[in-house]
Amino acid sequence: MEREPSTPKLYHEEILKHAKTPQYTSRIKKVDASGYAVNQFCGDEVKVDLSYNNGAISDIYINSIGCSINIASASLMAGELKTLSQKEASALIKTYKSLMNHKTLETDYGNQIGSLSVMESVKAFPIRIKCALLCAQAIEAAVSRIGV
Amino acid sequence: MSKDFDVNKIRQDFPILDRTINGNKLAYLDNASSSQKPKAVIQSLVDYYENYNSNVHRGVHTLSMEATDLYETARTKVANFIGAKEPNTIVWTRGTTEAINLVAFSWGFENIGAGDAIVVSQMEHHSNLVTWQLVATRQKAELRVVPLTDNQTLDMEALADSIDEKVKLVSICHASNSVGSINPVKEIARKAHAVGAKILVDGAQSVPHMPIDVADLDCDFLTFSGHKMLAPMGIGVLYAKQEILESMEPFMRGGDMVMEVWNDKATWNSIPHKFEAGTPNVADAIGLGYAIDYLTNIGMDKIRSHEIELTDYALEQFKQFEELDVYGPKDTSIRGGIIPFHSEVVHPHDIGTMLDRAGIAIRTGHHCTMPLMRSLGVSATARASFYIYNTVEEIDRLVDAIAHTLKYFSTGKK
Repeated sequence: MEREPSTPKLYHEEILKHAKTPQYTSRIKKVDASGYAVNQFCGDEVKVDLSYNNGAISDIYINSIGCSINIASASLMAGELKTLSQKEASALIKTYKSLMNHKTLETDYGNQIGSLSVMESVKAFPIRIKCALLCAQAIEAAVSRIGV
Repeated sequence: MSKDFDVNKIRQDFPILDRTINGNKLAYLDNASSSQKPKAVIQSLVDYYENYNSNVHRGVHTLSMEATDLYETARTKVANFIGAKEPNTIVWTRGTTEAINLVAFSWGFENIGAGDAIVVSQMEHHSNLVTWQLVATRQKAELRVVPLTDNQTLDMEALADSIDEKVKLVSICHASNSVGSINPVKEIARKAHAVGAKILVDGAQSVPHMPIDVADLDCDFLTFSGHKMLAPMGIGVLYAKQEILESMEPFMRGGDMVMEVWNDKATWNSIPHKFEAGTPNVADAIGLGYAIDYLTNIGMDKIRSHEIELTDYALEQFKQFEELDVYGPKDTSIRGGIIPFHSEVVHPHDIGTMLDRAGIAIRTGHHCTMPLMRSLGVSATARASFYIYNTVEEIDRLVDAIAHTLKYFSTGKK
């Protein structure tokens, strides 16, 4: 008798939750910067709009189309970015990318990326790391355009 | 299954099928992407490198003559396999993609001009679409894309409307890698020839799976890849009618494709060598010959019947999944062994990962058919595809694993 497929650790409860009900999916009124990224390999995409007020990200709209890892990571990252300054947002994205790319981090990254740390489970599935990084690419593009 | 088609015996010839993946026996259902290799093909590579390795066509020593003999024998095997009368109509390429590019660069740029038209279909692999986009753009020709019907078969009325006196080439897949539909290429060839156009048949998904006779199809060009038909990667074939090959300029320049060379000019070798510049992929060409022996010994008719039985069974089993869209025609007489499916609940990549945990290899993504995905209104699908060594039991495992995956992503429970 065939074993039932084991549930990969990839699908952390928090990831599944955000994949099913992603946050920050409502359009925002004031768009100060936008970003977009597409994974040419699979066609998944992420669109992001940001509002920036008084030196901080005040509102976010994220529309990610694709797999659960893509949708969950985008939703989680949006949550972490709100209230951050442009510089802080860039640092967070950089830390997250380093973490997912198996780079050694000097400081305790958990404090820096907050809820995004659940995405670490994806690292055991190298082929899916790109799914978790698509949102970072789109958001990085948007953050770099703040004030431009 | 047919009594004289012993799938269990066949499976013993494929060592990789004994592998365990994530604690489960491998069920390899990604054959439209690439097939596995039987021992005879793997051994042919070892035998070549241990006993015959040397360059072909240019040595008077024994090894070179033996290697040349094996290499040219493989070419003859390919010719016989597809019903080509002359081995010199078989040009070695790296695969289907290079074969189509060869036709585009050597024939297309010479014979397609401003105001002419090229006809392709909505189900083409990128290799048979992007290549013709280039020719159309550079030559100021029109690229006509024939749409599909609601069950992803070629819209034959639209095809008939698109083939007129302006058309110089119809380039179309025999069987779709993405939705499985088999196109009536013999009929399409007649339509193309009626207006003086040539037809290129992309046989990447048909030559490995069914009997092919280029004389009967009356196609001008046929392209296919070795690695999808039990042969090594890196070897493929362009067949073209002799008079067309004779009229074509070389694709690449270099050694072996020339007859005489001066400082300022050169003359070309005879066909097929004028299209084979540089040291060829000798070992893999010989390997393709062994793959053809293997397929021929079993019989292409029997292989096709086996795959029809598997596909009928799979389509029947998939009816239990109301939440899945399954693409392609239901009539397996016009469908290859390909089951593409899509769920609104679970993304194809997540299905692919879950199935991999059960040891089942399928392909997920756009399958190099992004315009087709767009026409279906999805960004990607999951695709199971069958071959000679697949079994009903493997389809049962696939169905069970999909059921589990759908349940897991719907309820979040194991």
